Amino acid sequence: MATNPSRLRVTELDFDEIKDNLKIFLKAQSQFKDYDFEGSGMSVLLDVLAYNTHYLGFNANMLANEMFLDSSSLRSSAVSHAKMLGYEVSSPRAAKATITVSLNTTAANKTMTAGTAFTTKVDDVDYQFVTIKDITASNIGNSIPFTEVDIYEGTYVTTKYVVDTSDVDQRFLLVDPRADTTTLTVKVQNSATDTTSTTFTRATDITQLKTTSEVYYLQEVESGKFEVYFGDGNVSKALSDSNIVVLQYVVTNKSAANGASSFTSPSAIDGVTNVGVIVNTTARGGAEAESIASIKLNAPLDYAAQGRAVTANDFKVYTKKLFANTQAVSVWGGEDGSFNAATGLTSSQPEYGKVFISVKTTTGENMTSAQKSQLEKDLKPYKVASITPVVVDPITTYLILNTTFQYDSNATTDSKETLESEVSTTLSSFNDTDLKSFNSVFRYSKLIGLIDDSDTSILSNVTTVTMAQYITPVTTAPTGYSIDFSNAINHPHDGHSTVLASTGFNISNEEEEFFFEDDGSGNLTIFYLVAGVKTSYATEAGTVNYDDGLITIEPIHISAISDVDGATSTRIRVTAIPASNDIIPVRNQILEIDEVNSTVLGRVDAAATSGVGYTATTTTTATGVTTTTTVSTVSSTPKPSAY
Amino acid sequence: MAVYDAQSQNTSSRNTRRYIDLDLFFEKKIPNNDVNTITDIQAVKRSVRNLVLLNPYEKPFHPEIASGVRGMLFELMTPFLAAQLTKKVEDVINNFEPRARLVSVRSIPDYDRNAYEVSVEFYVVNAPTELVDLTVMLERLR
Repeated sequence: MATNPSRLRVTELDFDEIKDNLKIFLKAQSQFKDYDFEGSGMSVLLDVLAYNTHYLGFNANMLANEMFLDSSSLRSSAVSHAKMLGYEVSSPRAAKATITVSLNTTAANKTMTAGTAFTTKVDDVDYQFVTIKDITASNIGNSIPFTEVDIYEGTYVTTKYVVDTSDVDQRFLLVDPRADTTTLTVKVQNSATDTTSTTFTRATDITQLKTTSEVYYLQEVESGKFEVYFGDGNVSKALSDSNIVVLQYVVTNKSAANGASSFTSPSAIDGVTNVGVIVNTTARGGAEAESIASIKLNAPLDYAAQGRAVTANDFKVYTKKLFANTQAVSVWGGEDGSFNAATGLTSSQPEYGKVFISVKTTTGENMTSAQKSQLEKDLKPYKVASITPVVVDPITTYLILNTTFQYDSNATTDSKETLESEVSTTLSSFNDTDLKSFNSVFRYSKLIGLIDDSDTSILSNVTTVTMAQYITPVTTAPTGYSIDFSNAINHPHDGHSTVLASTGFNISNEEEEFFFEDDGSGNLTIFYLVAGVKTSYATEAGTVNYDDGLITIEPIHISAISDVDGATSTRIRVTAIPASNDIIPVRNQILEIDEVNSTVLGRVDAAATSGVGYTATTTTTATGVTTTTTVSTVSSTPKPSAY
Repeated sequence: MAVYDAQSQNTSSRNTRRYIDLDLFFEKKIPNNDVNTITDIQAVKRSVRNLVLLNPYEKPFHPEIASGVRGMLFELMTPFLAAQLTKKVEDVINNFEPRARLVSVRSIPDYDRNAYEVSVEFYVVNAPTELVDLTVMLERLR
């Protein structure tokens, strides 16, 4: 065929483009001319060729994508790349609760076997929690207590494999992808006739292993399942024929049973039917397997950390790894700030030798003190010798927004209420996407732009911002409190009007309901209302540092707390007007819009709908009625500033 | 040496473009055992036949290039359906075979054999004097 090979382009990968290139190529010959007609035989041939090329092109593209951690889209590829970096992908996690079980019996000893199931209900669905260890306890006067037993949500599963070294494809799999590998115990029984068994532990540091070390290795394989594998006799102990590998683990419903708080015991434990259960900690920590996005983010960071937590980023990675319920972490070194355990506040004062870690949990609740000390303990093997990790609760600063928007009623068929609800939705989604995490700055102009864009009929909006924080008073004794907004409070000059406010509370031995405010000169004052008139109770109840946003309340015996937002509360809300509309969170601070107290009000814009500034005058004369329209400009008189 | 257009036209009896297509029946060419070619009216007839017999998704990435008559053969046979079949055949030829100037399409149901006899009459645009009649028997196969 007379063809011009230089015209055959090979850069395209799309079916239609490949086919077009082949047609261009065929233009140079005259044997076959009908390639451009869809019904022709040549077209069928070109379809086959183009389809084949497209197929191979797609395959090559997919292959190239899967070859790199950044671009891989299959979980098995991402997991495999992570494995090359020495990163352990976490399996699903079972919700874990701690209970104390007491058997009312006179027997000397009793054993609660692994797999003993306790039942509970979450959202009207039954779940069971199981023990994963045999526990034996002794009698202490007519009862046998099993104290603080960890129970895991799920089914306790045992999988056994008989080792056959001649089978090169033999694998020891945890058969369900919902298995929690932290609950896994691996035992190796000598043979079916010799029931002696050895418990293997998980290998963590290869440099510590000997040829006789009884360890196993764990990796995620296809479809999210985990595989246990063993040494070859050189690195660590190998298995031999007829050994029986016994894998015991919990197959869990992941996060479904988080929050379970009461448990029913089985009808009998080791023959004892009189069983009491006390819950020490409610169920929490249930989580999905690590996502592909998380693997892609954390595997290179983990590799960079090289098994050591040195930089703030290292601590972030290890916190996420060691505490499965982490949603976001903020870490700062002691040189950047400190934490005062007495006031619960952080400050920019350096405190060398410490690293502070603040965790926002997926449940939204603060970590319990047991979880905090566990995390601090878990971080110890990775930290640099002289550094002490300290886990600090996040502090949420609420933003109360009052939005009034003007809209053109001629430009929409929606009612005022519909528009107000659209603006509320905008606030809510801004709250979810731009706030509620560490280092998420509240950018005022971005929000007001979004409010204007909520609907085409909205012309403008005026939005005011108020910061709010809560204190939980001690009602039994006089106590001092501190509130740190970490953002300057509006204070243009000494003696400026009050910018602080609070919800009500009672003071011991007094009858009135009291409130906090500031005097405009750096003092916190307390007042009560007499027939709607503010009456001062204390003029120096504390101090207000406007520049730092720090409010210190001198010891005061608060005896009761008024309702907050129409509901009984144990907390007092203190609000302050910020100096800047942009609010910047620092260290462990998280910003969140208080959607309950924020208000949204729509108004029909008078200028857009009726034309303010135009006056129509009707004059009746002898000849008839004349209507005169005059343009009047509202004169603006310069006024002193409100401040 | 390459055969250029002027030369190939000189070998033709007409001063119009010739259609040359691959013969999908793959019969052997007697002189040199090469693959056979079909030309002009025969090529267009084959093309029309191919189009009529194409089902959606048979052409990669182009489900619209199809008549879709196969699905209709499993419907109850009625004159109305025959008219619909006719319309589909007309559409596919008008849309995708610019070399055929369609004159008529007739679908005659053969109730005894559960088949339609589809006869297509058209002119090939480079041979406007000859009315081509193509008859295809459409019968369902299970």
